Amino acid sequence: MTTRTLVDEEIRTEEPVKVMPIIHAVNLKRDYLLGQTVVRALRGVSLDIERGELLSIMGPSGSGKSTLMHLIGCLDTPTSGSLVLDSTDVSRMNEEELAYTRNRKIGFVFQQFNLLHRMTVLDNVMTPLMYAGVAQKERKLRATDALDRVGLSDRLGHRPAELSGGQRQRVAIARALVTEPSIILADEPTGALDTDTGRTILDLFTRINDEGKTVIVVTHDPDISRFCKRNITLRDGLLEE
Amino acid sequence: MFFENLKLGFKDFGSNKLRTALSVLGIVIGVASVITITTLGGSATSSIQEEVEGAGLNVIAVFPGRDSDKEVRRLFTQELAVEIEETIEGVQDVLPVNSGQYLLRIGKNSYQSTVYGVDEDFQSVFGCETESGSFITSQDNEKRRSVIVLGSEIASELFPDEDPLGKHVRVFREGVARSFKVVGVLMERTETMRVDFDTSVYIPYSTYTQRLHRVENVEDYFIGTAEGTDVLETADRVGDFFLDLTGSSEAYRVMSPATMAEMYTGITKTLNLFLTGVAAISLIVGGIGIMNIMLVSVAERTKEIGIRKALGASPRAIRGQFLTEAVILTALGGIIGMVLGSGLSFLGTSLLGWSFTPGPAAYLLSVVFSCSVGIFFGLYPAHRASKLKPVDALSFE
Repeated sequence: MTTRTLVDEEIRTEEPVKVMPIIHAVNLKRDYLLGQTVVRALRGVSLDIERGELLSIMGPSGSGKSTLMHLIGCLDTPTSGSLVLDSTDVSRMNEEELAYTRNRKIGFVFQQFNLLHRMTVLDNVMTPLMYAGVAQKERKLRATDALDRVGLSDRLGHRPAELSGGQRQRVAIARALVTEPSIILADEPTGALDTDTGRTILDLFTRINDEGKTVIVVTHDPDISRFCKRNITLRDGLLEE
Repeated sequence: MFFENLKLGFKDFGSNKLRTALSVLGIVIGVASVITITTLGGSATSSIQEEVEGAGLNVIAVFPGRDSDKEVRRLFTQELAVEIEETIEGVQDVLPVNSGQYLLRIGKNSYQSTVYGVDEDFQSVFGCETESGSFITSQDNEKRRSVIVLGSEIASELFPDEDPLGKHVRVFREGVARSFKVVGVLMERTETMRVDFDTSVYIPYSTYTQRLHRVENVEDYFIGTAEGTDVLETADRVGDFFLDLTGSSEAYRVMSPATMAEMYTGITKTLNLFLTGVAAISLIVGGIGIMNIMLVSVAERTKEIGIRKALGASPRAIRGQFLTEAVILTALGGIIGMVLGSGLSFLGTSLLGWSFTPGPAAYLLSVVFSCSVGIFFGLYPAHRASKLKPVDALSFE
């Protein structure tokens, strides 16, 4: 009897099921109170992003693209609507849960790199692992490996101020990769770099994407969006794909 | 995580040396004062005790109260001395003593001094030795001999170049001089029970009351207690005896070095407590300084907090980081304060000639107190840091 049930279950799982998108947003709204006036930054955005996509979010300033990035990055919660991230509903999480999700599922890359300038390159990359509760020894191993992947294994002991812009951004990418998140979220990653350096950073993103990670680039630069496989554009808090 | 926080804390202080030093100054001063005050207080108490013990803890004095009338004074008799000696437990000797200020003269040397009328027990009750000759004997008393024993200072004052033994000293009373033969000189002895041994002279009690100053009543009783008895308890019993006798607690006074020591120690303790309280307030002020600097630090590092939050630092982790920094600051201040306080109290005690006896309690108290101050005043800034919104903190420039 027991074997038969097992077989039944196996058959059931082999039936074709719809793969859950890595990001599933339904009617996302986000209002801000600016003084006395309510600013409707997002006015109902529904969006599915599949696992392994390389996607750009475009839009002029004030379009709501930063707000959307903050929501996807679990830095903020929506006023209404639901957001499911890698099968977890994050729209009603508290601060502790959001921090946990950011740590495990999201890797951030910022325009201004946002490295901790008092720490070495290696310490910077190790920081997310510290918050993940990884043991010191393994932290070092994994951070060295991540820096190797971005070609900076000879800069471990340097401080961010001793590196060029492109190198700093690569440190930031190593830091984003080190926890093996499912989503890399980049906010104008080439905005502070010259064209050539920007190109190498974008190549790096392609490579990461090829390795199976979902990469989302928020930008207002059409050149970068051309480089992505899918583009979505926001205008006045609404989606126009 | 704790060790990372420690490392981070030290890194932050290293880059703001002057600011860090200034902000811990309050704690340093607070802890140093607590240590100094308690150590000096402890040394003062033990010095008083040593002094009292040296002076003889086992004597009790009884004398009529300041406002007591003739009726009461008449109760203080020589017979009463015998009664006290026989009835009160713990009493060994009861010494009736009368005394007064007189002018002493030998040749052209004169000296104003207290003359004590005493009996032979005086020597054993107060434990004073003779340097030369002998003390007043029971025969001297019975025969009312005109003999005198000199304190060490007065002896050298009246007889600077010669041996006083066998010489005569004239004691003046209302213009009439009486001659006394010197039979002994006392060794130096610390003042006790308001008796300044070195500047006084001693004659037989009967000679005093019948030849020098005719009085019926006894002015003071000095009571020697038996060895091994509790002086304070015996003093209480003596007090009860005189309360029964006179019917008023105002009519007599009972005094002993032990009660005085108790009083002094009580005063030192109260003073100590008060000063420690003041020092504790300075610790709290120091704590406010720490809180202030931590709030500045949180404000300055808003961006860093934002980045850390983006990387997955939970509010609890941020709180831990800033709380650890505050505690490191106060602990650092505490350690410096302890070293400084130990140095100051060592200097103080050696200047005052007291024994340096640092109490572990003060050190423990300082550590616990300064760390608590760190936690208490670090909690609010740390809480503020942990509550920062990631988006706002990240966009902070």
